Amino acid sequence: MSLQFHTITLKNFRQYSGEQVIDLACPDQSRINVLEGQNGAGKSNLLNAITLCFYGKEEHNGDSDNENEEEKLPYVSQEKLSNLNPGDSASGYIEITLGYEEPRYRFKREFETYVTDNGEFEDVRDELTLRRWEGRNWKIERNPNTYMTQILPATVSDYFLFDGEDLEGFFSENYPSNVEDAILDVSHTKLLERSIDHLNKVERQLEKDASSAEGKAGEINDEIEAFEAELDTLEGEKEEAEDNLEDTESHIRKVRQKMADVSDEDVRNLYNNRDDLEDLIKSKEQRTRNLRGETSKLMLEAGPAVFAFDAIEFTAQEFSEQESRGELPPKIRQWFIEELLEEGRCICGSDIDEEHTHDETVVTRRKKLKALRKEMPDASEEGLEGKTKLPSILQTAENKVAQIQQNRQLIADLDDEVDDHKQRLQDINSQLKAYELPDDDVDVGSLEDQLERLKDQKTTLTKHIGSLETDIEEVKAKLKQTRKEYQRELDKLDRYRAISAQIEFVQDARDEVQQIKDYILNQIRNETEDNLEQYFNTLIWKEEDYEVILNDDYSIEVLDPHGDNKIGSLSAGETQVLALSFMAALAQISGFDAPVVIDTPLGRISSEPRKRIAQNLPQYLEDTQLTFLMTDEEYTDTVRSLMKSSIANEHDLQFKKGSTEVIPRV
Amino acid sequence: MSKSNTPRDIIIDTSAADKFAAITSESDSPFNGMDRKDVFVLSAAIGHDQGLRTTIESRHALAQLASLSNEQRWVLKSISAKEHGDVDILDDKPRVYKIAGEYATGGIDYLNNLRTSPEDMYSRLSTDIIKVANLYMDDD
Repeated sequence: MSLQFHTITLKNFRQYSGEQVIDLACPDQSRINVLEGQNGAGKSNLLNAITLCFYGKEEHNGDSDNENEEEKLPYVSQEKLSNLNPGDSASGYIEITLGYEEPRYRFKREFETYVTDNGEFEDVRDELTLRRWEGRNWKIERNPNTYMTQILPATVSDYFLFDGEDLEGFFSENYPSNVEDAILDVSHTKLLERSIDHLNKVERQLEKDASSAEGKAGEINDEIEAFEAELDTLEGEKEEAEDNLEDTESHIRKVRQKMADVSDEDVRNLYNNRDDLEDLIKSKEQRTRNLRGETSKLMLEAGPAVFAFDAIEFTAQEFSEQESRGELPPKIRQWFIEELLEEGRCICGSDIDEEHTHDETVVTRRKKLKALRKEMPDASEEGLEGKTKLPSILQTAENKVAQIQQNRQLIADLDDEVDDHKQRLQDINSQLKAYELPDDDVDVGSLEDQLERLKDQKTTLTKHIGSLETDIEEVKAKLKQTRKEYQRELDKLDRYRAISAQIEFVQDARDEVQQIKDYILNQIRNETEDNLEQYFNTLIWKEEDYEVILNDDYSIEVLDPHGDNKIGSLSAGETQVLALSFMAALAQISGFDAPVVIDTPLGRISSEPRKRIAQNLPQYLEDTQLTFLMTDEEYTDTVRSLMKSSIANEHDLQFKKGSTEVIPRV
Repeated sequence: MSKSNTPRDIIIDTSAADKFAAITSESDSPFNGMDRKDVFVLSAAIGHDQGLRTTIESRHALAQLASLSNEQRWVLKSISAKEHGDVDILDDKPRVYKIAGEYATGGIDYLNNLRTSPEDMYSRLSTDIIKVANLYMDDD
């Protein structure tokens, strides 16, 4: 078993009033903990408690009804704060013990909440402290953060401590960049990246040192500086646009979550129809892309024979005519001539006995036959082969052209269907926009407007990012070319030859480091792909096995047994399984032997797939302690019974009158 | 008949190399991600069909001849035989593949123009293949 949580102790932390100790130690073969609580009971705050203790920050959205995510509650429980006056403060702490079979590390972070003069709350948190069990005592360690970095650094903690609902958007439209970022996080290539950055800086400094070069070199150096400034601007713009895109996607998810709370049945039906139509459109568009790919291959295979039809027919005809003129003996083979020479008599009856060496005519005949034996294989083999091959090439091409026609018809039909679906989608959107519900229900029309605006914004941002990426590549190419010119010019000037040599050395070193980084990333991609496929097939409830491919551009293909790529048409449950598998793959690749905590792992999955995933959860990340924070809707009796044999501890988070009590289930 | 050694590489004009790269790597090409050697054979056939034989001024090795399938080599041989007017040329392998390379140099230009034109290359090319196939194969 990996390193595990033994206990989490919360004192006066948000909903958790007083001191509460949660026992999570897993003995023997059971390695799953489940904490069950309704929304608002404090599941997300438990996850926040862990990251607050370890890293001094909270990463996870609250599950309270508070719509304004910027308004975070103070650290200390409301119960404690309610008795305070301005100027007063109250304190609490989070303590987490970790270890293998026995506790070995005790991390603790204390905090205090002050009441300001105007009645607001201000939080202060202390530094992380660590006691480590050594011999028979808990020894105070001076560098707790160093130990934390060895156990679970912040850079990879997202793959061990995460909210299952946050995964919903992971495999959205621009997911390859999410996948790339995740792999970079676990690849430990930061040192190499820093080396590359450093070498880039050294190169720029050397160029600056040579900037006093006059004439052409000086002009080129000015160009380089201008390109670098342009590149910085473009990269800054791209980063900003990507942040905006992430925010927009997050807002879209929030709007959809609000829509899911509507109680009107007609509206819910319209939402469901819309979701189904969107899935159908995605799946048909994917099918169209697959068919186009298939047709392109067929064009490449059949096209040559089609366009060279007359030449192929001509050549086949020529061979046929040669055969009928006797110039192409149809069945003669080398062995036949060998037999004639051995027998000493030609097929025409002439003497060709090799013992009759005194007879010039016999010797000449034998020489001719031997020459024919040598020549014929090439001519006759080629002609014989061509005679049979060429017609079959044309037949194969004809069959493939028929397939191309069929595929084009299928694509045309799919396009028509997609157009119909899109029209229906537009009708549904219009209906929803015009919907009026009672005041206490969700404002459907307003949410529709918001969603439309956000989707337009997302499209604009995506296009803008694409355009910036092209501009960035162009500038980089120009920069590379200009740098080469610059070096050539410097080489011409005696006094800058040394600098030019240094620049070249730095560039070579940087290329070398880049190659090492690319090699490592490639290895990690391959390993991630293997692990991802293994976990996906473990968790997915289908009987057949899927092949999962992680491409060089970080796109993922999920191939069913027929070879069809399902990535564009996965259901919500299947997407959740893929996301959970990906997280598991990354956790394994990271090399850190840490426990995993997942808030709401089965959140938005409907009951049937949820049962099936639950059935396979005990095989998820074997040898790792898993702690699931689930709602009562996720942790049904059926799910419980399916996981029972692997469960070490169960706790209820009982939320009453603003406070949560953690009650172990017996 | 004179015999000659089969050349190792398939050769095009250097000016055509970028176009092969574009056809196999640009996102608006239906052959994005596919092998250049396969595009070579298609280009040679299109070049033959359109009468676009182009002299090779500067030689560029695109791929090894051995990477072509037997069927693909027969297409190229047929083109050269038709060009020469009889099959005797098939003994002269360097000449056979030189002719193929010259047609491919012209053909790739045609394909690349198709790619950069406003018309969708995938639709246009598939339509042409079907049309030409129906023309020739229906006559049989």
